Amino acid sequence: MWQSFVNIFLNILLYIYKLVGNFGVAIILFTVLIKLITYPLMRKQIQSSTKMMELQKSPEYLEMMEKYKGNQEKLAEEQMKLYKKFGVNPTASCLPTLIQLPIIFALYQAIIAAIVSTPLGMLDLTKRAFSGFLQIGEIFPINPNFLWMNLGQPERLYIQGISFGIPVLAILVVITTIMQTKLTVPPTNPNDKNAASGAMMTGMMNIYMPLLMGFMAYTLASGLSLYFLISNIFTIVQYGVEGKLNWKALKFGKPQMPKLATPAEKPVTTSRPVASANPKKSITPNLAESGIEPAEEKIDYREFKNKKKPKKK
Amino acid sequence: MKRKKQFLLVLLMILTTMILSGCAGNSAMSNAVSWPGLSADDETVYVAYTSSVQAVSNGKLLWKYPAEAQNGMMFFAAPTIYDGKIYTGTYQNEVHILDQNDGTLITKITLETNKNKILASPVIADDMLFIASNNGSVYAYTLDNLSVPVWQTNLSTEIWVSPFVSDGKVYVTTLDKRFLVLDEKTGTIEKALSISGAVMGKLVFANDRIYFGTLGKEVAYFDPATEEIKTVMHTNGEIWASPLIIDGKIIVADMSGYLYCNESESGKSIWQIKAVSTDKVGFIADPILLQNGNLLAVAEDGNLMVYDTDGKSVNSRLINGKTMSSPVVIGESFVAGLIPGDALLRSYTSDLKEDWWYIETVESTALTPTAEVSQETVTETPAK
Repeated sequence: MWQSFVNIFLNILLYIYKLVGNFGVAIILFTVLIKLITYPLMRKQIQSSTKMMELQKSPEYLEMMEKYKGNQEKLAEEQMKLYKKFGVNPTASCLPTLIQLPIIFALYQAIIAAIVSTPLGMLDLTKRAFSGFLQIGEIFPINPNFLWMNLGQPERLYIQGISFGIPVLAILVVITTIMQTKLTVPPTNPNDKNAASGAMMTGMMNIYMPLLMGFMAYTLASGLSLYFLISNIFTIVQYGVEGKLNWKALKFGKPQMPKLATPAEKPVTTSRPVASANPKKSITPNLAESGIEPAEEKIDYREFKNKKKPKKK
Repeated sequence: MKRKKQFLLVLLMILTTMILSGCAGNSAMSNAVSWPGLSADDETVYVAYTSSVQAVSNGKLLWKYPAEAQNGMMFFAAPTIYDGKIYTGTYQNEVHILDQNDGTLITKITLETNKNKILASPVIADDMLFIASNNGSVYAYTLDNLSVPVWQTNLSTEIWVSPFVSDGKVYVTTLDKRFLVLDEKTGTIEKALSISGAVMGKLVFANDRIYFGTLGKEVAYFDPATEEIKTVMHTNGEIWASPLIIDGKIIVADMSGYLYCNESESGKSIWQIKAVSTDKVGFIADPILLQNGNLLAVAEDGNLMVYDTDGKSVNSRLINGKTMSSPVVIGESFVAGLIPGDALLRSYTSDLKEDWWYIETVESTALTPTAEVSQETVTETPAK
């Protein structure tokens, strides 16, 4: 089953190679093809996370958070009800990410299978090629060279005068992964405990993801690194097309958090003060203590139609 | 909580890297790195396979080189036997020259970089040693001075097939579908011709021509007199095995499981058989002529098939293991090399009766025969 999945990838990759005659270009085109196929999912992810952000800024959500802050079980239950009411699927944003994993694994295997260096590897390749679709004799041997890289080997650029190889592709993968994670993660509500926890996770991901991707690009076949690079760039472009790039997040130094409406600014009156009224009692003391300055972004609560007055305890 | 999440993330990263690294080899044959390369001299078979070269006679191990597996040292190409010495190429771009009697290392030739492999058997002709490497170069040495090559010619891409040397010329095929003629004394490229596909089997000299099959589904020959390449016949599948030429006939086995017999001169078909009906199973091993005049075709799935020269099936036998190695004839018997089966070598008589077998456990991770095999090298000779 898995093998068949990999073989489909391999045959498409080889077919593109047959058309363009360059394995690097074939990987780039293949990556673009994959991104285009998964574009509807990606779009759904963007929309879902936007909806989620809007929901988390709503007074109803904030009130619910405050009301059930001592009862995690009830909070989760109420959250689910609210998600349902607003038509938000909290897991929808995970799907495109999960889909990426088998694609990465399959592509890696396909690249390794295509670039053969032994008779046994060649024999294996002939078995995997769909005979009605590809004539392996026509395309073999596959030229693994692209620019300065051997796509079947980890990439290093050797420059005269420097005794070691520079992992240019790995560096580019790290940079684009940082850019991608920063640009595509929407700003979070610092008053929301869950969002703050999410922000912490995002912060960790901002550190670990580029490191992980960089490590893989450094150690694995450069064909896969090329996939990572193009995939990152394409994801940024996709978010750009959807108008969802968070350019402010790219500024170095103190992270920019959006300023959220305080209870005094709310057009809907509540009988209870919201936790952030007193910074020392804020539900996100770590953010307050860290000196993070909220950005000048205000939320118009009138956009939320299903406003409810919070219930008194 | 934060620590727990960090720990989980790090664990996930490690797991992802491990899965990705581990998934590199995923095919049925991924654990193997090669198949046995066989040569024979008198009663002895010399087998180059994974981490060693072994001399086996009548199912008994005569010697093994190196005695213990050495890190990264792998062998694939059939050893070349010449003047009491065994010349064998390694996956580290070296040629080890061994004493034929006891397998001791006499000397070794180290080519430029150990990142390349020698997949083609070295060739000895006119007191010269020719080595083709997958780094795309052909090296020529005089046998009395193996320290410095007489010449080295860099070609366009990898070479997997042994050169053929005749009449002052060295004939080479490269993976990028080219047939080249080099000068034997200087290595100068005299001719470079395009062919329909890469050549995987050896070049066969017959009728003053050099025959070869290609992955482009055809058999062709180079005529040194006209310096032209002519197509003899087309096949249904890609061709890996080298053709067999006997009495004006050319016998070809393709990767779709077809066997062909055509006139070697005109290419006209005499007979054609779909010898293997299983999908994706064909012929990798060369068809050979047995001493009784019959043809032996060995399919990849371990099916041994004997035909007479009219294409009539005489006998067949299925053995446990994959058989990509070209068998070698020893007297009235032949020896087949297997991966991964219950034996490394099996010898049969011309009528497919079992003669002897040889079991060997490979120390390296590359291939391990069946679990019941002892960790020690075991040789068995069944009663005939």
